[in-house]
Amino acid sequence: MRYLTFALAKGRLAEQTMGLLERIGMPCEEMKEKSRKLIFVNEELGLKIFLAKTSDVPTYVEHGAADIGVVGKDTIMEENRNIYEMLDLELGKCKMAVAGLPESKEKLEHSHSLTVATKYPNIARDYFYNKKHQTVEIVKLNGSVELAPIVGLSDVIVDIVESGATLRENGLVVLEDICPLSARVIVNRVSMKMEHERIMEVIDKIRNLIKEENK
Amino acid sequence: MLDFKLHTPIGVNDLLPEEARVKKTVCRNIEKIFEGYGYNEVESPMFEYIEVFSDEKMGSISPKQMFRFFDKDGNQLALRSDMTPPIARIAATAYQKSERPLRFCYFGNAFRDSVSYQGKKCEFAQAGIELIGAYGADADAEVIAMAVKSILSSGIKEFKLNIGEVKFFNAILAETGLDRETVEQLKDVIAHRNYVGMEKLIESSEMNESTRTLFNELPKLVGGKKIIDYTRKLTKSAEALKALDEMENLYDILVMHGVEKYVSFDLSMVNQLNYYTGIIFRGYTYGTGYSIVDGGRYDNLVSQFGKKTPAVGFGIKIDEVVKVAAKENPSFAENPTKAMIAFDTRGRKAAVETAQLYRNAGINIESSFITGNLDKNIEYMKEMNYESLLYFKDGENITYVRNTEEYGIIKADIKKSDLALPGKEEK
Repeated sequence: MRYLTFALAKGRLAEQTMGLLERIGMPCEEMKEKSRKLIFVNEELGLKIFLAKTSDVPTYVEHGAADIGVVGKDTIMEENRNIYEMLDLELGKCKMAVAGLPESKEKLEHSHSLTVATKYPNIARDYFYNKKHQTVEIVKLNGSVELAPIVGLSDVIVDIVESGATLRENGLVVLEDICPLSARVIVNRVSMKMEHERIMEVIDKIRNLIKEENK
Repeated sequence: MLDFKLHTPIGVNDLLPEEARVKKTVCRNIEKIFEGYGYNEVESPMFEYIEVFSDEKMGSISPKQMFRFFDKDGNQLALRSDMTPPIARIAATAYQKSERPLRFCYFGNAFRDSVSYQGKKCEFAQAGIELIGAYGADADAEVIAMAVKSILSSGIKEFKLNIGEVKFFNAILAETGLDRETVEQLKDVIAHRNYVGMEKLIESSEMNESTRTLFNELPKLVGGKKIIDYTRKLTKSAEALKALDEMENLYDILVMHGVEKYVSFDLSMVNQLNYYTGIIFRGYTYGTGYSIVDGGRYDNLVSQFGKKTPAVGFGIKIDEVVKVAAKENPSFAENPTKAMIAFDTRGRKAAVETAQLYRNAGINIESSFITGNLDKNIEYMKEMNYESLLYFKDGENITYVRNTEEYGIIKADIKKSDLALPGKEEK
């Protein structure tokens, strides 16, 4: 049997996904041990699982280095890769939003010279250009985006909002919602065809498990 | 500083002899299949007026993905971004009056600009066929059978060809009874293979329960003839049922061609190039994350160039096939030259003449430039992994050297008259 390879986004989502896999009878004991290994194998079931940086998961899946990936919708939107998006795991629910100081609301609605700071330039461009038909200046940052409006680098930010606590503590508010986010199961195009039954079985099992647990 | 002349631009690469040999073998094998069905090779230019590729009905490749430039008169040109539209142009212009089916094949490169640092190529070697002027299942089946046989000729054994039907998909879209905007959205999420988005859209839209079930099951509607029977129960659309009948008929003919083992129906398949109007198909194998052959029926494309005629065809992504074939068939990379000839000055004339005799008979032989040193020639022979060496000491005396796996180097002194020279008897 060929290995079915999973790429998981490092962090809490990977742990939650491992839990899901264990509950549908696809455990990977190797991963529970503390080690520096990057790739874990369950020989019995023909599974390979590896952890990757979140934004790299769609890349691994698109090229077929992994058959299946688990990653947030934000990354899927930002990376815009040619992959199958098969299932909403309903984990890590949050939203993509435009945020800023309360007084920037007016500028957001009427200005032609708005500056937007974000880790997600593609999502920001798509939202402002294609949905709002507004020309904006986008500045790409790599972290602590909340700083940008406070220190005057940008008028607003486009970022993930979970509880909104970070925003509140820095005197920022959500000005517009862009879209809801959650973790998704993605599948490589060729794997979807070559291993159709095996992959659909895994997906159906996870789908049923989620339905049951959300009852 | 970056010395540009030492590098190739991002997205293009050189082919070294081993890779080039695999590619050549793959292309030759495919060519034999194409010729076997009576297809004739045509060549279109590497660049054309951009209108050939950019018209919306020609394809989904946006001008942004094309390599564009201008001629002296300011007309916009583009490197060939898709092999099919130029052949449709040829069929519509050079064969405007022809009623008979045209069977064309091609080997060439297409160019598409891609996003940096995604590990994607900008230059693609393609081989394909276009059957222009023929309707019906027999024509579709011939083309599908040829696609399967071409891939098999590359030594790829684990291979699947999925067939979809644009008419079926459009019929079930119409069956939803949704307004145009929602239908477009639905088409878009399915074309982007975003099934999560599709489910959400289906759940939030008004439609009858059976249609909803059909869409929710769409990703699973993949398989052999059974899947067609199964799908019949899920739809009431007369158009969709008719399309399913046609697919079943096609399947029966594919059985006669002996290729059904490699073929599955995939009813979730959506055309990504706007020009497909009937069957669409894509081939997949292990060892590459991309499809290796894409094709389908495009009955409206040729009429864009002024001749109303149906057409069906496919293109093979040679680079992807080569990648897999190289792993599965090491013999494809083998050097077809296995012998060399060397000489001491006195033996030059005899060596040159003998080498020529071998070459005339179709035997590859390399002439060494290391003169007057047998040992150095043997070293070179080992490095090149050649099987035999003829070393002409003079016009008559030869040292015959063989490099064998079992015994290593074996030497024997022979006379020129001992050589089994090809064509000697005729003289």
